[in-house]
Amino acid sequence: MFVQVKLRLNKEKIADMTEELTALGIDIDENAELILTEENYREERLCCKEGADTVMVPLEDVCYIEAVGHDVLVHTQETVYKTNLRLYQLETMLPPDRFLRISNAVIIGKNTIRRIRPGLSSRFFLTLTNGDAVDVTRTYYYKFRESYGI
Amino acid sequence: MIGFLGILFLIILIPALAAGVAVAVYYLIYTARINRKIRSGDVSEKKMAGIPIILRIAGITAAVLICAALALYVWFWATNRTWVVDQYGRCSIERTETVDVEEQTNEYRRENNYYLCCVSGKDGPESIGGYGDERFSNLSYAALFSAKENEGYRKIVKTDGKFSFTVFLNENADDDSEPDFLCFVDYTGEIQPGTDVHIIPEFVDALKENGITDDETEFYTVFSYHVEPSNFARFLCLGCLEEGCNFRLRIRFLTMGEESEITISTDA
Repeated sequence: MFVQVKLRLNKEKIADMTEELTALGIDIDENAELILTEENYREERLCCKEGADTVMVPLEDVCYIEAVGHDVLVHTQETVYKTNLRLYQLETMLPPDRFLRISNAVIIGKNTIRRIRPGLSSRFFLTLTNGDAVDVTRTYYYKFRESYGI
Repeated sequence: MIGFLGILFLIILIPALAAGVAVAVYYLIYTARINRKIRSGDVSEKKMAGIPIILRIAGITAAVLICAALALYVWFWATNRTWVVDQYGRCSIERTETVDVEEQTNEYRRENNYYLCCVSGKDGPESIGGYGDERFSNLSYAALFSAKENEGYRKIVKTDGKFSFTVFLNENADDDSEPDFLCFVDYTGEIQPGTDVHIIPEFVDALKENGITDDETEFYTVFSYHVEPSNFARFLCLGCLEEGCNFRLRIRFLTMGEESEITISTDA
């Protein structure tokens, strides 16, 4: 039986695993239906939709991700995409050293903050590099402060 | 002059304003610092306290200051007196502000009256007795007069042996809201323990004094009072005189066998 597998492994393990699987007669194919995923695998790209098109958005382009109603929107500098993944799934998938959840509905890229304005209650008002404004809510206030050391 | 409500307003406003300014300044410094940290990515600087905790601290501090200021003001307003130690080492109450004459009623009719009290060094004035209108029987009223100086009064001092009479006469003949005369009686001698004092105040018809009429009977009361060396400062007698009347005050320290008197006339 001819087996095709798609690999979802961290960069440092891909080469070794590809060699081993190939030696076992398993074909590595991006279009395969079987997926081998590492437990701590972190996507470097997000699979998003722009209208009818599917787009792979690099993580470094993502400013923030926002849940609006039933939709999850991925905001970059210039464009807004949709993704089928839920926010809680993205929170586990995305590297924690580069992304931070700041409210029940928003995950931001940690290096995309242009300006912070503290609120009088336990809140921060952020202006991101793409010009959009998002809020750090009370639930995530202390985690945000710890993360940035402020 | 700002009134009671104005002072109350200031007591509350000033600490609240100071707290607000302090929070505003801290907010600006804090915002600048965190934005600098975000831009530089440097997390080595010590973290500043967040705005919520600063607000709480400022609020509590302002509340404590307001309560303390209110308590101090109410205490000062209620007591309104300072204690002064005289040359004999005895305490007396000195007047600290003018009595508010607007609070006096206009129903007072001038007629003979007096009120006696003993000023002690420890407990403030103590009532001895009085005659006539009880307007001046309020001890807190009596406590507002000073043995040194009283605004609107002319001072006369008479010394007779160990007795010293400090008389104040009201310069405003039409003033119905304050006593016509005050008389402080000091005794400079050694007061023995358990000393009994007789105080005899009386109104004397001035015409009779001059021998013009003799059909008036002199009326007086003898007040007995007990003093101890530890607590006696002076006696105070204050009151009003009808026209044509004088006031005579006799003091007898029975234990020491000493006495003196003074006659007060508003025409003096």
